[in-house]
Amino acid sequence: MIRALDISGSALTAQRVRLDVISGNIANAEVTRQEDGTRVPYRRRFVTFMTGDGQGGPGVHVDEVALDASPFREKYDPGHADADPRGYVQLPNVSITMEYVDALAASRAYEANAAMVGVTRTMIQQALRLFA
Amino acid sequence: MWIDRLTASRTMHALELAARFAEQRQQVLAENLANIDTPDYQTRRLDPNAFQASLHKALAAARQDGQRRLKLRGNAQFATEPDGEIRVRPATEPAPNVLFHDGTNARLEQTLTDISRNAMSYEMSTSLLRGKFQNLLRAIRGRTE
Repeated sequence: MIRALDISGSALTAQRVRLDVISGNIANAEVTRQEDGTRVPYRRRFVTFMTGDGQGGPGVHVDEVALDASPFREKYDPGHADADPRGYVQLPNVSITMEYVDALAASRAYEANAAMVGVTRTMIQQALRLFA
Repeated sequence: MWIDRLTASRTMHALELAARFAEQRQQVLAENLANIDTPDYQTRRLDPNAFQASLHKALAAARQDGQRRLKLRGNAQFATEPDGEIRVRPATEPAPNVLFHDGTNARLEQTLTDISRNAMSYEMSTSLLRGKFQNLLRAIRGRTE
């Protein structure tokens, strides 16, 4: 029974990491420079889920946070400091719509697993009441 | 010990097995729900109807032999060990849908319904078991309050 709690817990962690990554993408949706100052836009990150808790037990975990290899968005803005000679600025390959839909799915999955923790907790309480 | 003879009734063992099965099934369902967004994941299942049928057969067999311990046999998904533990081997559920390109068959509603139903069947087993223990307690105390 405690195992079921661990499984739901691993899912809560995994979905939370997914939400963290999505927040990072949305926060950086207009960023045109890297941390070291190079004029390369932010690349979208995404998580890949893998079954198992990562230590041999059942559950789910984030296998890796990968970089999205799709091309950057381009916007015509010749006055921008990071515009190329043609006048185009390269912007991150982040689509706010996609991120938003993904965030909804993640929060719903989080909710479902949190409800599962509640159900399991009730079951454990019922088992404990056998002694009472 | 004499108390063992009181508690080792077939009904109690049946209820215990039902509770243990629900406990194991809860783990399988938790895993299915945890992997709701995992690509390529095939849901696993423990069939409660097969368990009920198997329990029914075991009860009938034990009644015939005058045995107090029940033995669940003849199902690949679960069986009782000599020490009374129930060992489960969940089956991979067939994936009949062609909706997802990775062939996964995760269905949120189905999983959540199964979870509620499983929790209720656990509650039933534990309440009946609790009733049994309370009866014993009443007999020990010699009063019915």
